[in-house]
Amino acid sequence: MNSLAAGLAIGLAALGVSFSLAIVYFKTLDSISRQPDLLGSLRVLMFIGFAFIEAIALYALVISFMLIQSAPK
Amino acid sequence: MQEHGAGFSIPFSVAGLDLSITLPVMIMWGVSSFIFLFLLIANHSHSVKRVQFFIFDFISDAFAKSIHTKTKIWYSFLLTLFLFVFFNNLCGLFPGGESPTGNINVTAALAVAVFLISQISGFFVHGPTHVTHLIPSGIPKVMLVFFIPLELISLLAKPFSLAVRLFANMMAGHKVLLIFMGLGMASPALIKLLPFGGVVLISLFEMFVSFIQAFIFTYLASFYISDAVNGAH
Repeated sequence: MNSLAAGLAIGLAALGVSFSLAIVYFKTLDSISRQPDLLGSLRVLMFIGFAFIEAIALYALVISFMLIQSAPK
Repeated sequence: MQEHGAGFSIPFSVAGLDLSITLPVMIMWGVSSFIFLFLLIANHSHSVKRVQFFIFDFISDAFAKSIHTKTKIWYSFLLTLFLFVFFNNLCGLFPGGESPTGNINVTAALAVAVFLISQISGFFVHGPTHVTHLIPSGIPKVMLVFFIPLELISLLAKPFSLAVRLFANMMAGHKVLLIFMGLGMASPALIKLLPFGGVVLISLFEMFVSFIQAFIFTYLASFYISDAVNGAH
């Protein structure tokens, strides 16, 4: 049961995070194609956003590791 | 990349507190002395000085300027924080190494340091009125009963998320590396190179993540300090 819970935890988090990463990347590409001069600053902002969003998936990963470790042997 | 607590350790305790000198502790000492020597050598060598100027410009552009008042005081703190976190992150990629920032105790200590520094400097700048930053403006007095605890929670959640973000990133990267190495061990001889390629790619990605996470950690630290010093509300 704990393995199922761990899989669901990281799987659902990955689902949400992949959508939000797609939105960030899509919007950045959109803005760069509109205003190519802003490439440098937009790239930095995009990576900062990536790291924030990625962190959510990693919280879920920590939770799933905790679930696996607390599984009854 | 050993599990934390395993392997090399010199037992040492003071008044019941376990202060054993383990591998991450040694690595942290090594990193600190490396940064110290690097900046010391940079004062006397022209080729190293170029690297030093590059780092200094980067830090002052990226972080220190976001705190508008007294940039020079914060500059040295943010520089130390960035270099320490970055080199500690990188240490996990050496064979037999372990990144100290992949250990929740280290990141929690760093986050608490950032929290204390931002709050103390807030009190230093604003005096006792710094407490009023907890009260959001433009809200009916009745609602304050709900909003002040919320603001307190959000204040305390900042260092927590700062610590867990760095820790989880470092730990997850190393777990993925370990899993790929395990795949390499378990797979038959013909396709052993495939997981090896995965290990190489993930290692390169981890170098990138090390930099980005050190950047994010320092960026957020400067953001919290400027929040406390300049008063966002």
